[in-house]
Amino acid sequence: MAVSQPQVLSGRAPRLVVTGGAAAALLLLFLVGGDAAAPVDTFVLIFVSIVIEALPFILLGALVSAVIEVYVPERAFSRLAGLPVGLQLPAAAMGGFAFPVCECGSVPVARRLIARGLHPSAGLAFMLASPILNPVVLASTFIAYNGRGLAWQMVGGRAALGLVLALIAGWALGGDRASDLLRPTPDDVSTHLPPTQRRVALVDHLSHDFFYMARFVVVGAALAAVMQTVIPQSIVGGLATTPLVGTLALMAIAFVLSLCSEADAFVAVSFTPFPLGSQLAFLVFGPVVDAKLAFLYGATFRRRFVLRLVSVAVPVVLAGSLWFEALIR
Amino acid sequence: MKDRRRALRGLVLAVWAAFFGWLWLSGEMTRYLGPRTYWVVVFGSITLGLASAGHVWGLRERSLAPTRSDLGGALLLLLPLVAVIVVPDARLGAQAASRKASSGGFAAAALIPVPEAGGEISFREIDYASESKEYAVSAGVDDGLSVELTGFVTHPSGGPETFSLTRFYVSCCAADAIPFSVPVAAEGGDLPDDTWATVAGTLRRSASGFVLDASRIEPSPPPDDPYLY
Repeated sequence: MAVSQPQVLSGRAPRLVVTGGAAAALLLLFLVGGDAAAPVDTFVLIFVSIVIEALPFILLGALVSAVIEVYVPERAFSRLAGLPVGLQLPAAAMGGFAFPVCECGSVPVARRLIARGLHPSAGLAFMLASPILNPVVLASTFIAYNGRGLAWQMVGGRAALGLVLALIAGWALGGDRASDLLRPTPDDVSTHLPPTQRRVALVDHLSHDFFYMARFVVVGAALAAVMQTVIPQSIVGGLATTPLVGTLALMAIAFVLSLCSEADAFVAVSFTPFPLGSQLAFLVFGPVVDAKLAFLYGATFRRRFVLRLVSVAVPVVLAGSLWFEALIR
Repeated sequence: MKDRRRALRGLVLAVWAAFFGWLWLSGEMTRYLGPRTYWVVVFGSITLGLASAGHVWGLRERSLAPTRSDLGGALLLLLPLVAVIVVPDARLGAQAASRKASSGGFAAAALIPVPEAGGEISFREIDYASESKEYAVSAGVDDGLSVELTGFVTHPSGGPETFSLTRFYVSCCAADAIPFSVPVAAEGGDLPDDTWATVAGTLRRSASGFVLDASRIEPSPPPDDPYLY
């Protein structure tokens, strides 16, 4: 069987990338050309540091995705697809405990799982749960809050709310068919290949996923860096007075900062004026929706996915974090 | 070499692998990352290098030319490296401190971590001590304590100080850097933003927290590692 070559996706995504990249480049040139050395320094450091942190994880996610595509036999996915959604959904979400890759790596893996036959709701649940539930993230949360004697509360709260959000969002947004959720993409390759062709196909799939996802992360990192350079975060400091407003403010900050979920607990712990529930919202919302992920989701899923995800994530995280605040007082 | 598309992708990966290798070997990774994520640079240089080698292997298997989208994507992926070349010595300074959230001024005493006994007194400890008397007692931060701090000059508005000395604390990367500032009262006059200096003096508790009464101010070069952890 011939190996068909992965294609770059058509549609709005490439235009979005080109537009975003051009905007970032123009902004950089504008800043370099003007009398603005300090903002340029800030922009470049934040932009480059986010990309440095993200790229290896995208590569790892692309590798796992390629292995799934090329080496996992069709019958395995047929069996999985035959399971009731009520079983697939929690099993996939719980799978996040065993996948130590942050949000940049989980997107290509989820896309591949859904394309291969896993129920879309289950694939989404896995994608949303793994950046929160994975052991590295929970360990970093424990370390960050251990100095305040709140390690177990925050780890438990983060894992529980993250799991609930993944289940609800997966169920609400997944739909019944992969084609309703994923942007159209050619099915790259057959798994019934001789070993030599499989190795070629593995590199092709890894390459395809990495280069497709990485460009969106670059654009998202540029957007996050621009926002961090321009918007004073102190303007939300005054919003910490009530749990409701404080929680919404920290969710907005999580979107702007676009931190890796393996690092965000060390930042959340510094938001001392905000209630613990608001800090929990930062830790659960950020790995699910942020500026760089918005571009990554745009490349992976159909139109309005980000808006639909926000419409589910905001009320769930808000309600969960307020409940957590009431419990822990 | 027939598969030019694969060659292009392999080249981009090789450039990134080389950049990670340079960050690793030159120590430049301290500019962008904190110690918790140094391993990402090592991991990235190896995995990106292997991925590049994987692309080179099999170049002759079929004939493919890169599309315009391939070229655009490759250029976009190289944009961060262009930024590093254009601004090789970028640093977070007073402008970044004015934009990033600081714990100063709104720390809740109940949430401030317990200090380590006999630990070093630096920017963060003085900031926490300004917010919590219990912390100040535990950490041994009090009126008349002699300290020597090295940082860059900032001018947060509204304070009684001549200027503030500031350092960023980083967890994983520059994106999560948090500025901590100590107000400095200096009879010798002000210094411009982003000037690195070593200030020695004694701490004095004011209504808004501890102020460092400077007895000696010396300009100093930026340290090799600009962040504290």
